[in-house]
Amino acid sequence: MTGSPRLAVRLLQWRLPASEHDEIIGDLEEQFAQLRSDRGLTWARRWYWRQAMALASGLQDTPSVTERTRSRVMSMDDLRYAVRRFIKQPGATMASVLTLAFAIGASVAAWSLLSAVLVHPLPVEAAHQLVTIGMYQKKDNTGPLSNDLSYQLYPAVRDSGVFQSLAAGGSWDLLVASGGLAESHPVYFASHSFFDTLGVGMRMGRPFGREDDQQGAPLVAILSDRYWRRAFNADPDAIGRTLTVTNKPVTIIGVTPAGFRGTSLTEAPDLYLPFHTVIDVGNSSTNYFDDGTRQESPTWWVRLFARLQPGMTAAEATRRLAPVKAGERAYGEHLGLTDLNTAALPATLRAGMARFGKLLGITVGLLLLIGCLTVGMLLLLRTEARRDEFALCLALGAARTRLAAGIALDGVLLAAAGAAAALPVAMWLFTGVRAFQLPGGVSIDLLDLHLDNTALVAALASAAVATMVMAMLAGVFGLTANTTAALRARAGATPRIGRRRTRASLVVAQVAISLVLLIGAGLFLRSLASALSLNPGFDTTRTASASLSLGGYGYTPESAATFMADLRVRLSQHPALQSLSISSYQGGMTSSGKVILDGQRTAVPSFVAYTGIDQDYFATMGMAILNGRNISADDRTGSPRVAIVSASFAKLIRKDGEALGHHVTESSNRIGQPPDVLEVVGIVPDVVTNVADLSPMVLYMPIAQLSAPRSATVVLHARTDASAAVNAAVSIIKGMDPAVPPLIFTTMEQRISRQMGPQKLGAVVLGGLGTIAALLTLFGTYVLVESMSVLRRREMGVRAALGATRGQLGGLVMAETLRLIGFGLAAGLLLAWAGAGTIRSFLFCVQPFDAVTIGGVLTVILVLALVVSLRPAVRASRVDLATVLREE
Amino acid sequence: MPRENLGDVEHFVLVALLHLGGESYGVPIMDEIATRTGRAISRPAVYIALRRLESKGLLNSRVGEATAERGGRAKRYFKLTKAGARQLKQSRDAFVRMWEDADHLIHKAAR
Repeated sequence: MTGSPRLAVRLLQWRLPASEHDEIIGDLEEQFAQLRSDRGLTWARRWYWRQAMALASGLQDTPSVTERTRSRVMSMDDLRYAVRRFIKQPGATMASVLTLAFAIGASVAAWSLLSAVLVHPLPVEAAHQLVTIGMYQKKDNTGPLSNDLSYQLYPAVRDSGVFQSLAAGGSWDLLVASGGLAESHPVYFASHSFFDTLGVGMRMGRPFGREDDQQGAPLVAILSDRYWRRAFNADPDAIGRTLTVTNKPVTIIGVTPAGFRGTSLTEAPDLYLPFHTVIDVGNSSTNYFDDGTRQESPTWWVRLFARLQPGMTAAEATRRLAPVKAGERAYGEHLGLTDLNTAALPATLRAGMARFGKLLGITVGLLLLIGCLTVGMLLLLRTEARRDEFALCLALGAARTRLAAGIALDGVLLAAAGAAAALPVAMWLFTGVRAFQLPGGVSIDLLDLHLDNTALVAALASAAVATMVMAMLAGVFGLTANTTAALRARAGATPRIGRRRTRASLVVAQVAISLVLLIGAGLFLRSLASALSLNPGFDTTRTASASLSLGGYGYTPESAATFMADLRVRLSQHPALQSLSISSYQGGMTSSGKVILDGQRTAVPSFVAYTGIDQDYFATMGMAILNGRNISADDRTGSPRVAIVSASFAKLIRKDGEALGHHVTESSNRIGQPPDVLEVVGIVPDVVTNVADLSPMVLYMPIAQLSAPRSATVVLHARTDASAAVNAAVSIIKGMDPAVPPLIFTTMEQRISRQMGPQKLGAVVLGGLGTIAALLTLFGTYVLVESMSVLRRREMGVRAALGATRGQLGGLVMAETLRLIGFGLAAGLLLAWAGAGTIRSFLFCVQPFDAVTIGGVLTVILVLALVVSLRPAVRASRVDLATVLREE
Repeated sequence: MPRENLGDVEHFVLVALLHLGGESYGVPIMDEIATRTGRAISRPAVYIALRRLESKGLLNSRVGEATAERGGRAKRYFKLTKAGARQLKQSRDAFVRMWEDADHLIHKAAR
């Protein structure tokens, strides 16, 4: 052992041609040995380093040396070295790749989701030619278009010849059985031209023919791909088999292609039946076709879809529709066309969806940014670790472009690995979000989700560019490295402050973004919590309800009443139940209508629900009577009509809520009879079942004073556990009539929770991304504080020698962390303030600047950051000068 | 007549070799130059000069013995060739001619 610096020797060996190793290194060693005995090891080593550097840079004119560094900008060697360097630091490499994978995967998944909803919602052919026909609600053709039309318009528009083809359709929920129990399914009645107009071919079988689409024709059905998979296990022999729709046999003739979900995102029919057969399977009392044979007004349920003539614009088609008449009425003047893809999302939902899209976009954008920041930081650490190497390479004559290319290669490799791992992440996220709903109750599960190629390319490109930028930013230090800096560092001097500042600003940005994401997640969680605590003091977990509709199973109103009375007796004897009530929803009055209060027509601010209840209803629901009395056995047919109102309705009747004794006139559709007047005898608290209506207006009427219903709501209050009570009810009903399918009970908590789909999705998405961001931030903070404390060891040693206490030394490190985090949090608050508008509309009973949420998140980040910097702080406090000097 | 004149370092290296008996290796050459000129000359410059002189045929080299103090690495001995000696002489003569009657001038200029 000569004691010469091994690194210098190795680098000389690396840079010099092998033929010159013996001569040059040998000469150096010989002189080193002499100097070591003359002037000591340290002096000799420094001399050796200077000579090695000078030799390397001085030999740059020698062709044999420069040949390797100048002739190629990039080689397979560089790639191999880069891969080897990554493998040598598995932790940091994994962190970078996973970060990028999550960031890219989340971006792709989010964009694909939005694309499936907003850009390409329907898998139809030449969608730009397809329109849906609507009618203006106002005579001056302003305001929104209604797409639910009367049947009369179908033949009228079809015969006008304005369109290349026209299709009609409409959806009804009917009882469908494919072997087992009959259950309610969305059934779409489609004209024979429906699939042809949309340009949708069959996956199997044939579409409807003209002969199928006639009243009284043999019933045939086309299954949706989803229903075919679910009910028939994707059996290819399903064609020709029979199922029943409202107990009538229907032959299966086809299956729609996968991904086709009808013409609206808010519905997903399970099967399609010919349009005109609706009268054969539907409710016989509904006036589906305004054929002039009935007294009732027509049912507005028909939707019309048209393919424009080649070359014709929608405006031109609208103009040519103007003369269209249906019967005597000139409907044509009030018709308007909407692009089919646009109409797939109802107008009322579009704005909410767009806002949600923006929020999602910002969120994944921030994640992508934080991912790139983290990768940038790791690359920066790598280039710092390679400082000596860069300096030597430069001294040996390496071109700076070559070094830059090497650093960029690191970025490219990381981005490529991240992108490769992003695909499974995106697929996994797709699976994860399937359980959630978008605003407007659009179920993600029913969307035709697939990876959007544009999104993939865009996310990959942005991640690659961002990573490259970060790599280059990191590389600047490699490129500015020089011999002097390397020597200074080796001599124990603190590196230039600029380098530390860059890293500090990366951590500040990370802290800011984490704060924003976590605040967003916190606000969504608070919204959920506020929604679930809407009914304080009300047992939302033990009360469950289900609707029981007997009409489809051959029950008359009388036999249904007997069934329900029997059910009541059997259920009330069951030990799992504390109480039970059977109520009946009677419809209501929308906010555009008026109710008659004490003879005065009064506008209502929101929907008023009319509910028929028995005397156990309030006890079962756990609602106290605030004022007045409950209904009693005396409130029956023939006795004076009475009502109990919710507190909000009471306030509508009288501002002070003292509504007892006032009168509400029942809005009745009974032709030829005067409406009944109900006296308010009791007031009960508001129970919020719909998060969109926090002041529910409910008019409760004794069910005994109403005509016997065939459908009712069964409400159970469990003694201990809701599921035991629900199981009991389901088995009792099955025992009474096996044809009636099991009721689906939901607790109040589930009902409310279901309405908070977007908030839940938001909480999960922002919470998940925020947690990732926070972990990356903590990682970044730790790395930064740790490296700072290492860099300042000498300074700490001197301070300790001069009498600084351990507490003071640790305090220095902690103060630095605190300053860094403080800057980040301040920047994050600014960002959150800027983004408040985006999130506001999704919050429920919570403000974007909710002090509890913001305070909580601030505290969590601060405490965690301080915790991770404890170790470096403790280490810094234990430093002693002698050790530092000895190490040097 | 060679096409190129000798550079400073080349000149020094060749003269050092003369002093060292016409054949030596890197360390004594550098020591000789340092001792005689009173200043340390850049190590890379010496090696570059040695390569160039060898490629011009003014020196030739052979691999010598390895020693422990060199970490077991062999020396490379350089020997002045006839052409090298001729070139050095011409170079020296050129310098001497240039310096004729100039000694007092440089003293005056440097004062």
